[in-house]
Amino acid sequence: MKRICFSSAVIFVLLLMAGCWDQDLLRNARLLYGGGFDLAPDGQLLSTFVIRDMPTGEQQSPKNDIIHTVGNTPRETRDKADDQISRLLRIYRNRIVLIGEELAKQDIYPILDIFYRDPKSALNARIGVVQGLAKDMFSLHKVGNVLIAEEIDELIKSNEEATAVPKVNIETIYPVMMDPGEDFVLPYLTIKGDRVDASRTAMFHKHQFTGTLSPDESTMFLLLKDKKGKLTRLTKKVNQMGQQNAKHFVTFNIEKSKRKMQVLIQPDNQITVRLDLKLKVSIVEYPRDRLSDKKMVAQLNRILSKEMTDLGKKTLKKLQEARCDGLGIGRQLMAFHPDVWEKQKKDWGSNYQKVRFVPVVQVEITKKGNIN
Amino acid sequence: MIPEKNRITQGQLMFFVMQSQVGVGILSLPHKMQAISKGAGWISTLIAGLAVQVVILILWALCRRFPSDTIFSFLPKITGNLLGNLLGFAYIGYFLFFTGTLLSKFADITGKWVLLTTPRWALLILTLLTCIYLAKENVRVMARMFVISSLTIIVMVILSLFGYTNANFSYMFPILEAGWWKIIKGANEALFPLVGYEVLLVIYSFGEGKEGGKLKAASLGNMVITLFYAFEVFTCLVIFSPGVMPFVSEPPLYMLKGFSFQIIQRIDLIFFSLWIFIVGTATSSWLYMSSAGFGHFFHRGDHKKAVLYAALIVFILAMIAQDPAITDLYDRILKTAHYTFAIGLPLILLIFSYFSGTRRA
Amino acid sequence: MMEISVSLSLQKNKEHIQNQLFHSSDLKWRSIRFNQLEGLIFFLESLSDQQRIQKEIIQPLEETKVGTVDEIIVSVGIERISDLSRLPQALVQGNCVLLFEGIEEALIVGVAADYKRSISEPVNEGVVRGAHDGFIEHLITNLYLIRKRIEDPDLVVRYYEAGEAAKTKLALLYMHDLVNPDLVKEVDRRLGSIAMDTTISPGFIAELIEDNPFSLFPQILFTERPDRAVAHLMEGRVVLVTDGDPNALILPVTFFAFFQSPDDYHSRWIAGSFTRMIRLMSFITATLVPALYIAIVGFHPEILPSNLIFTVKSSIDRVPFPPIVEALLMQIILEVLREAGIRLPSRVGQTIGIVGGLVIGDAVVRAGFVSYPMVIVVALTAISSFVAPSNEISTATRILGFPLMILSALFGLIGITYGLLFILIHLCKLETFGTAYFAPVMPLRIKDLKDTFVRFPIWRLNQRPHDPHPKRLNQEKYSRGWENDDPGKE
Repeated sequence: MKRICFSSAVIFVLLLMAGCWDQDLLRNARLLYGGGFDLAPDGQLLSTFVIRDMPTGEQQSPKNDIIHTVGNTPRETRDKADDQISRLLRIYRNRIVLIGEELAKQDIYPILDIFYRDPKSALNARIGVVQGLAKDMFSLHKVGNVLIAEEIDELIKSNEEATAVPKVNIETIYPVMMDPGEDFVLPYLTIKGDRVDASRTAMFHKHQFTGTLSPDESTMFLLLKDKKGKLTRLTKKVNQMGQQNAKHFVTFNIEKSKRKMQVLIQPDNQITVRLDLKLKVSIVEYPRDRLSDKKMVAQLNRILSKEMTDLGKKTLKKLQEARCDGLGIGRQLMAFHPDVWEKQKKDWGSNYQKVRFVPVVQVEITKKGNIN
Repeated sequence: MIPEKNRITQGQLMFFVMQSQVGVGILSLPHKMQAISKGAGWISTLIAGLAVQVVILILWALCRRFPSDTIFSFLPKITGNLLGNLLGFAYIGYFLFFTGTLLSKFADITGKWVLLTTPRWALLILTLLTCIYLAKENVRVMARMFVISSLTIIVMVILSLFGYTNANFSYMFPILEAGWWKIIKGANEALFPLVGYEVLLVIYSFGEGKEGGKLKAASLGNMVITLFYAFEVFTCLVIFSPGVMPFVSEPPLYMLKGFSFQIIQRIDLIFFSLWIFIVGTATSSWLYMSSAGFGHFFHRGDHKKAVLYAALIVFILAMIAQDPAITDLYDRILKTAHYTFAIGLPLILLIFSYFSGTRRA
Repeated sequence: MMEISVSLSLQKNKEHIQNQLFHSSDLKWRSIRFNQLEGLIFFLESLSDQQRIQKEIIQPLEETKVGTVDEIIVSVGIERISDLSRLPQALVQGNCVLLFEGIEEALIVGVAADYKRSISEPVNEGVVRGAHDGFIEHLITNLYLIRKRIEDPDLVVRYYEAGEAAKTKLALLYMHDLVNPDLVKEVDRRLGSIAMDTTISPGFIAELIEDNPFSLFPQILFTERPDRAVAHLMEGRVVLVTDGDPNALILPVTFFAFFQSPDDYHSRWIAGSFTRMIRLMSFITATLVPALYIAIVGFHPEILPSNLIFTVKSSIDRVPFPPIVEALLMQIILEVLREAGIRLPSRVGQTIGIVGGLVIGDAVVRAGFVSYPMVIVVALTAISSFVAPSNEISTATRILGFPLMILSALFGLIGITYGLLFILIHLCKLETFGTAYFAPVMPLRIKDLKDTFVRFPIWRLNQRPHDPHPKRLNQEKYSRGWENDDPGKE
């Protein structure tokens, strides 16, 4: 007993003297809030680091410190940035990663590798593609009263809920990115004056950025993917005759969305994908009223169904043009028609473009708000 | 004979088997399974569990012939003194070697995930001190601890369930992509993380009750662990696409890394801490097995004194295995040793004792 | 001691007694005549009730003059002794000694004075509802309090004496029909082997008979509440009551007994369960929170969610010390304040509250020595540790926090995990009087969990806890018999 006590005491003291190897004090950290990667003119990597500092006083508001560095790899630029600031740059609380359009057109995996490899990195950071340069977007510094990186993060978050942009983070795109049978999509951000707009979707094929979807299309895409957010609202023109007038439009919430996807293989190896989408919607704005009329409602259902089917077709066409297999058709083939996949997988990108999509959207108005 | 205060109930026997079985393997198993048997990794695991069940049957049949002996005391009775004692030492060596490998793997993974710069020796000493503290107790106290630490398995399952928010079940299909031959091969690989049922050889005689009940307890323990492993493999298979799996060597941790609750993030750290519990108990169990052997040979059955130097040997073994080349060598040795000591030898001994009719009433 | 027979000469006896007591000033005597014989009454005026001597001995003897002494004296305790050497011992126990010229026997009459405080509610173990009486420093009264609650001949009281010079009277109580006989034998053995000059308090006895004196965890439950003692007696445990101290010792107990309070049983079962869970949670908070804080701030800040991390960071940015130093500093200040609070009279105690709480708590942060989160952590620890209804466990809780803090400063969360593993193993190992300390969790006994983390309704607790190995496990079959009465029958 005594000996054990003694020896453990000795070991303990030894540990205490040498200890704290892995200590990483929060006090000594400069916390990265957002990072941006662009293609520098000479082909190198231009990184932007947004560091958030919290002044110690009670009344003071946080401040951003934005640093730009150029280097060959993300890690190199990060180390360069670390050299330029006091204390240690820490990325474990990173919220947002933005990638410039031009860089995204090249392979984006090398940029993300550092995030996947580092055991401390924040894998739940949001990621998006920026029209133009990410650097320019961060250079807005503030949008309204909100600091830029936080604004982008919150903006994407609220738009995810509104089914405007895909809900992804660095972690969730990883399995998709490495899967030959599916491609991922990211939010696509644009600068509108001194504000940021995040309502479009950037499509990727393999690791490359290949095109964008408009706001309506990206909502449609999410519906087709069965990834409806909390709220989905669309405005459609229902009267082709009239002029541009609020009276000719209807705005509706999609309350319930039910998707059925069927991948069919025809004897001639033509792949047909049937997409049935059943939407239950509630009208939130329709100045022409008269919704108590059943015929009127039925007509509206018809018009909306057609509109939405058209939108679906348009969306799918764009996806195919961009060779972005966002719906994971290849995945379905792999899982349930492995023989077909064996033949197709070699050049899936262009084979995907030959897939025949048959989207059918049925809209049913179920709620009309407080007035008819 | 086994003193009264060393007796454990059948339930405790079950947890003893469970906690010896579940060890470092759980983190890397999905990765290995996917590499061999693709989407059918979980089937491979289940098959491995079945195979283990057969082995348990063999061990049970052997042990029941000597209801009050541990392996070290019944070996001489079957094969004669000299060979028996030699084999006894070989078993001690196997147990020690396994403990060393287990710890070195543990240190590797910890060094990779959490304590990146903490020196290996500090981590090993910390682990071994804790394990010594447990392993020098009698079987009953250890069994108590094993029962309570099995709760961690439940929590681990619950944590893994959170992963299902990102699940895509089509990743698993086509299930039989790899073909049955590969699946069986995968099962062979899965046998290794399930090692630990050998503990029966040492603690079987401590269990109370009928022979059948003890078999039931050991089988049930094995079943729980097999199901747990299969569940983890299944979870990882539906969360990570086949394309990612080759890159992620500890998928159960990786899938929780990006997940967050409102008030805490890095759920993987919690999972990791629970895993340490499991590794700690498994190490103690193995340490006990080898020191029971030393105790039998050098201290008249008192294993307490042996724990210290057994731990020292384990420490050295684990310190040596820093290089991947050595780790691979360890793995290869251990696989052969496993087939020999856990399956081959017991079977031979069983047949031998059956024909020669040695049996102690 | 050598036996010396009582001498025929009164004078010789007197001298002997005086010498034995070293002419102590409070030794008094009074002469008396009875049966025509010269007699002397010796007593210690500090211990004997002089009115009783007057009423019960002197008056009857003076009035009757002739007869048998034993019949005339009206005292209850009366004993004839021929061994002179035993007289001083009798005197220091408050008896008076009666000697007559020419008689070789002494009469010892029990006339000890009973100065005792009245029964009042124990300050340290207050309850909201329930009995408000508590043990006092008088053994007989304490026994009365217990006997009164269990009017059952199966309740056995055994007297012991501990201490060689200053003897302390002890009473061992148990229910004969419930208690495990091995337990009584073991306690008897250990009590019998106590060799010590003085056993001042029950704490001494606890320390002398407990199994694991090196453990941080208390293994014997102290209580000043008779109802608590009785409840444990009825579970087949043993209670030790000492003379001169209001604390009764209950043994063997489990870890969870320290978190039970009579209040749990007096309030409704849902409320009782809730408060008990709060107490156990507080135990975990008090041991873990400082260590966790150190681990998070020093090793894994990424655990904190974004909105929290910046708030925490802004307040710790100025602190010059590593978190472990900060934590140790604050914990020690807290302990100092607590200790100071106990020693001071209550009026001054308030000052301590102001100085400690306001001045130190606030100034230390404003000066930038310690961060706000750390103050919160330490305050939380302190409050949580005081929740436990037993002082022993609450102290143990706070001490337990220190090794965990050091481990966490060395290895972060991993260190804490090892610390917990170590504590759990320790709890597994502990056994007190043949009972597993961490029962019913280790070894697991599902049935007993009904009254461990929660308290099931009383009518569901039909079995006694298994840990003291009582003779009869079942208490009753069905406590709500009226539910079976079918009113329609009548």
